[in-house]
Amino acid sequence: MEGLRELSRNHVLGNPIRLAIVLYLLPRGKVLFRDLLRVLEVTPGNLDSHLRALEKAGYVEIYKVIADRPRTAVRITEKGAEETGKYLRTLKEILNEVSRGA
Amino acid sequence: MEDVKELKNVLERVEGRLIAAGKMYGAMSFGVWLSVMLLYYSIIGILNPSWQFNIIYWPIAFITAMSFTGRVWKRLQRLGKVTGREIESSTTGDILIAASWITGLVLGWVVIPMIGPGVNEEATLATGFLSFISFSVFAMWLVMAGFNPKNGEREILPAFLIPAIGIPVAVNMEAGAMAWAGFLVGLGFSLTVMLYIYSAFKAIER
Repeated sequence: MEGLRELSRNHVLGNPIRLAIVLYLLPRGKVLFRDLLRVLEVTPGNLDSHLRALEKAGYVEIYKVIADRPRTAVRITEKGAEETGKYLRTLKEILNEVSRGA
Repeated sequence: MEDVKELKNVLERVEGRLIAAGKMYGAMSFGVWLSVMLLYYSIIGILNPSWQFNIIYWPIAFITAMSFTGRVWKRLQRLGKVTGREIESSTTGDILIAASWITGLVLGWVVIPMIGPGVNEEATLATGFLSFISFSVFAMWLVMAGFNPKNGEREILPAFLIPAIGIPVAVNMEAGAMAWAGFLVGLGFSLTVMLYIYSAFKAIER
């Protein structure tokens, strides 16, 4: 169960909201904070704390853009994409193992 | 056990959507090149410029389309890291892809016009154009696949095979060779766009 140990070590993506953020960002690359709010249906404070956790881990970058007015935007980093890939593959392997074992 | 099945199902759906996004980016990339070509043919058809126009148009079109393709490329590479369908993402890979197009440009618009294999000037230009597209797309496809054709994106095959098949006909065409070449390249690229969209739908539905 090395896979399980690996998953438990990843405290960042273990949270479903943070996983949803990176999965939403992956095909888009970058997205506005307000769009994430609308899609995830969370409070601004909640989203901000999850984004800060992802930023601290180096999975996303938070920056300012000029849209209709100055807005906060988020983009996924190479590390974020790589770690998400690893996380999903490990999760899939574990689920396959569990299915085979049953 | 039901929970495991459900989670597996969700995971597969997520993976399917990420693969589909990658396929849509592939379609967009070829769509841009198709637009570049349609603009070229519109200018040729309306203004009938001299052959020197190719020397101006293609480098400008190449740089413009490549800047868009480059951005799409980065997204494709990122998605590949997650879906496990990794495409060549090193700096060497980027350089090799650029080299593929530059070599194709030189082959199609410099070397072939100098040799002059066609029955007339138009046939030679058409041969050069088809060679440029066939060679460049094939080389790019090979680099993307990490030089292993088995890993290559099957959707791209018509984009270089159809123009390549048309070269022997273009060489011997007395008239309309450029229209023939444009049709083949347009057909090949359109089929690639269609195949990418079809693959995207299949990935979503799986």
